[in-house]
Amino acid sequence: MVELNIRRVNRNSPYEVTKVKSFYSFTTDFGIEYVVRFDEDDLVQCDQSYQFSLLNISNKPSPRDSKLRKTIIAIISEFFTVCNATMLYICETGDGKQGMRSRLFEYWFNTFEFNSKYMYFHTTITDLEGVTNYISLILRNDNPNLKAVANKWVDTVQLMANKP
Amino acid sequence: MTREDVFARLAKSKAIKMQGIEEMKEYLREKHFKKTGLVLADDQFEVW
Repeated sequence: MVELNIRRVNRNSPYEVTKVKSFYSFTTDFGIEYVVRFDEDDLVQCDQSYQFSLLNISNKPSPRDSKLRKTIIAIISEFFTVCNATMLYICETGDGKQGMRSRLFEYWFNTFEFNSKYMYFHTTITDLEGVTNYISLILRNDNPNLKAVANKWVDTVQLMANKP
Repeated sequence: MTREDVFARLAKSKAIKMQGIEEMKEYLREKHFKKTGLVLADDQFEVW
């Protein structure tokens, strides 16, 4: 588990973030509570890696909310402050909306400030069941394993893409 | 490392994610129940 410094997160986050058990929570102006966590993962084998997960109650459509984006970026930036590891995000595929989630995630992070600090690898992989998976890796530009992760990830993606 | 090994690792990563998601769902369910007396169904969550 990655322990974030909540004070630092809240200095940059428009919504107040609190720690709950092993995850982090915030509620938007629209009354939607989001919960976020980082779980240790080993899909990327040449660097310590954590998987980012996000969940909310979806009984009402999520409005366009720039504060949501800023809060998520504040949380992820803090993750990279305390942990110079690889962050992995695999879009949920259960409801078939993974393409939309992936585009939104890319849009959130496609800013000059973010791009100047982090390296972002985005991959689309069809698994053995025919499900399209959208996977993103984010690393700090100064991660000492950046080159190794990039090379290994290219090999991994090629292996998955090559049908027997 | 074979193609099957890589897909097995991807499946493991997805399982890790779902395990964490279940813990967070439990928290939101409990909170929602205390507030409204209603139990949230699985399709009322949006997993990102």
